[in-house]
Amino acid sequence: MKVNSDYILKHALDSDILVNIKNNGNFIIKLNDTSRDIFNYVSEGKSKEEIIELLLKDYDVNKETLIKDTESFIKEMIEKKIFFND
Amino acid sequence: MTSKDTLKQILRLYLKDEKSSFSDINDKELFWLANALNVSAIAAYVLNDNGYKSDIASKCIYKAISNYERLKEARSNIEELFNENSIKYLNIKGSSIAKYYKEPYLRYSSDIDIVVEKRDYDKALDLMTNTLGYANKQSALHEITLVNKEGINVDFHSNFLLDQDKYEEVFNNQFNENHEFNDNYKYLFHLVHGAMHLIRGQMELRYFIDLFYLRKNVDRLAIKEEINKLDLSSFDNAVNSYLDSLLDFKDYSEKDKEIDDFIFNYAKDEGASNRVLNNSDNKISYFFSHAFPPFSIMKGKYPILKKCPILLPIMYIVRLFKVLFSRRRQYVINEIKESVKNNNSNIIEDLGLSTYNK
Repeated sequence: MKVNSDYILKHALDSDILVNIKNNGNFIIKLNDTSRDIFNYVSEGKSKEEIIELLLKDYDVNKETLIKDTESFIKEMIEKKIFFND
Repeated sequence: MTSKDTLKQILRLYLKDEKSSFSDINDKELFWLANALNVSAIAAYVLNDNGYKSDIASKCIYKAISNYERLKEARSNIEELFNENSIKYLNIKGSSIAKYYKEPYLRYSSDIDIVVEKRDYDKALDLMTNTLGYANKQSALHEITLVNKEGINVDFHSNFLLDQDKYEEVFNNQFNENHEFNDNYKYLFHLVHGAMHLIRGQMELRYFIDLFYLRKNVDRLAIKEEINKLDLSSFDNAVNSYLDSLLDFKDYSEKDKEIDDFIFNYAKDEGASNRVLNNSDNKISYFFSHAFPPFSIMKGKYPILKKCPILLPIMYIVRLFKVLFSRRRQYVINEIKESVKNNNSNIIEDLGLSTYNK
């Protein structure tokens, strides 16, 4: 999985946001801590399984819920063409 | 408090790293003004930092981040290519100043400015067009403006100072491995650039934010001679005095007030010359800005309007006929130059810039 290079992660206005640099700032996605970490892990080239493993170490949450949320976020990002499969 | 006063207060808070509370702000008017003077991202940043939430402010920040990052990416591609091909170049203006700001995206730049050493210029231009896909775009104010398919504009210079050949020698031999001026020359270039903008009738508050950062690092004694060579002693004193007043370090002098009026009148005229010279995406507003320029331009062209503004509609008709039967673009450019000269001759003289006003 890779990140579309049109998108960058920035911290502004007290939030982590994804900015499309080709779109004049008109397309912004606010990220919570977990989705920001997922974005960073995908940028580093980690697989879905590796990401889940890392998140389980970082967050004290139910494993099934985390897997479900991670998959759902990745699916959404792929639909929005922010992530794409190799 | 007027939007003008609010904006000045915001800039003071930003520069002095102070806090305040805001209420009863006319967001639309404030950001229109801030935008005209190229400080809208700073205004948004300060308001947010002081707990004032606003949709316009958020949009300004997002736009500024997006703009900064896309220019940064384009600049990085150009630099990589130039470095691979041993091109001698300097990044000037925004890209060399943004790093001093609290966040680099707060320093708005509409384009990338690069000076390439003369002997490398053709080769560099060839790389820009054939390797990076930039195309030449007509520009009245710059030597060559290149544009890529994503709309990134690059002002591509072989001279440091357009139309001011006699001052050019001050900046020659400043190419270096950092690809930007050292602190002293950055300050000098900022001065001369400001002077050239003022001659064209442009002066923005962004200029003074840059000045605030650049003057911190300058060794004034070391560049005294160069400032004299550039005929900028009075201008140097005047812009620094205005900045001190803006920062509340002292009361506004008569000259400070003159600069203040000039800046905010420029904002009011919506940067008339820029608006007409830069092709707007909005074709309707582009048409109207050509057909019916602001009163400031018209009174410069037709001084009778200063006495009888009621004649404005007639003068629009007279002008329309002249434009139709002339080389239109050149006519509009000359008209702006003429009006700027007529309208701003006092401040140009007061700030000691007569030698620039050719």
